[in-house]
This record gives sequence, structure tokens and C-alpha cells, in this order.
Amino acid sequence: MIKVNALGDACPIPVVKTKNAIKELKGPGLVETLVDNEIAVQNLTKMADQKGYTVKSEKISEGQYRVLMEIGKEEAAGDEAAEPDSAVMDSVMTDAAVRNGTVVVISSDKMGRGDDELGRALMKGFIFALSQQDQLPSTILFYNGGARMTTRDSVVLQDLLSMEEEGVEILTCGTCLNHYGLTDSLAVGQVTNMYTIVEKMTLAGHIVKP
Amino acid sequence: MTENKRDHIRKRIKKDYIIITFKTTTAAMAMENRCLKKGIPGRLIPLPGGIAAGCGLCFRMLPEEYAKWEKELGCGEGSGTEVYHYVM
Repeated sequence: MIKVNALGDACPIPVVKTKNAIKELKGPGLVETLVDNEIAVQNLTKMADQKGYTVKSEKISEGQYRVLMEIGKEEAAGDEAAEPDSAVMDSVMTDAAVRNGTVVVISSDKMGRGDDELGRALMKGFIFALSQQDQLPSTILFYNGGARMTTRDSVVLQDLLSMEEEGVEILTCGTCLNHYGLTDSLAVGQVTNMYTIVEKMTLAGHIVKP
Repeated sequence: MTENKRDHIRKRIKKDYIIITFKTTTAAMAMENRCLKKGIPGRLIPLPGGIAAGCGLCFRMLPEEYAKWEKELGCGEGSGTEVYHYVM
């Protein structure tokens, strides 16, 4: 059995290290990988499932997980014949998305087009539902009409404050606040500019825009 | 260059609420407006998946607030509303 210590390694390193260990086996065998986060466990499990390896994982202690892969004879033979590893690449890409985080973009105080009153009710519902998720986004960007939602009189202010308290970064376009005369009314998060908005969006793992 | 952060994974503590459902979104929005005017605490939210009734929007309140405002809310028989206890 080959043991891989990937504790403290940011993804995709655990996947890459494990893949290298499997190569080193040069045939059937066991590879045990230690990691310190659940996302790495999920990525390793996904890779193993795609490659047809038997995989087991367990939490050893707080912040320590053990992933054990068994590479069978057939799978090992398949690996040797295989072209560049699409399963690993998929895992790496998935992880890159998770690593860079989800950015939610709110460009209006209404969701969708049609009836404005319904649109406002839907947007309130969206922000509420977002605040109830177990996985919160890394950043929420507000611009144009969406900038109204981060100000004192916003009906979703409490939802946004609770998400900010959980660590969500809340950024509102300063030009937009200025345009609507709301510069002094910002009640949650920070003021931002177009450069940061562009940067957050281009580096995001996922962008969610209701 | 600004730092791009990871998503935040957490476990939410759930609470018991009263959920009032409506036959139409118009009725749901009207309830919200009525409550805002009367100062009745509560909010319009998307209908939770565990409740299979109503129009997709519902009004959520704390049980003690519902008990206090029950008469004013007028959710009795024939009102076109249904009232549920729901943990969320």
C-alpha cells in the first residue's frame, strides 16, 4: 500500500498526489490518502468512482479524513492504456469551481420580467432562500437597481446581515449608490467599484444571477 | 488584486414557524401589505418544499406572533388560506 499525506494541501493537490501514487503502484494495489477537508474527500471519491476503483472514506478526527482506494487488476490495466485523465481533470475543474467560490450577482430589485410587484416578491424570496442554504456563496455583488437591496430601508437587510455575519462578502457598486442618492444609506457590506466587480466575476467558480 | 474566497458551508439551526399558504400570489402579496400596514410581524417567503399547497409564496410568522394576531389575520375557514406548523 502507498500512503499519501495530503494534509494541508489545497485542491487539486490531493487528487494529483493520489493519481501519482496510483501510477507508482504499476498494477493493482491500495492507496491511502490523508486529507483535511470534505471537499477533497468528495473529489477523491468522485475520481475513484469514475475510474472504477473501490473507495472508502472515514473521518479520523476533526479536520482529518482517510480515503482508501483499491485499484483492481482490470482498472490498473485500463489506466495504463488510458489517454490523458479526463476523470482527474473533471475533479480538478469541479474543485477549482468550489475553491474560487460562488458569486451571486444581483442587478435589480426585481427577479425576472413581467409584473414588477411579483418580481420584487420573487427577489425577496430569492435572497431569503439564499440565506437559508447550508452552503452560502463567497460573495454577493449588487449593482444598478440591486444596489437598493443593501441600504437601510431594504426589506432583505436582515437576511443580508445574517449572511455577512456568516462570512459572506457583500459588495455594492458605489457608482450605483451615488446615482440613486443612497451613498449614505448603505447598511450592509462594503462599497466597491467596477474593477472589483469584474475581477470577482471573472475569477468566480460559479456565477448565480437570478 | 482582491482575494476570492471559498463558499461558506454551515449547519443551520431550524425553528418552528407558522406558514400561511394562499391560493394566489396576489392574495399572498396582499397579506404582506396588510401586515406591513398593521405592524404585524412576519414575512413573505417562497413556499417550503415540504408543504404541497398554495401558490408558491407563503407568509411566515413565529407561532407566538400568530397566536397574538390570529383574529386580525383572518385565516379561518373560507378565507382561502391554510395554516401549517413547519420547522425550517
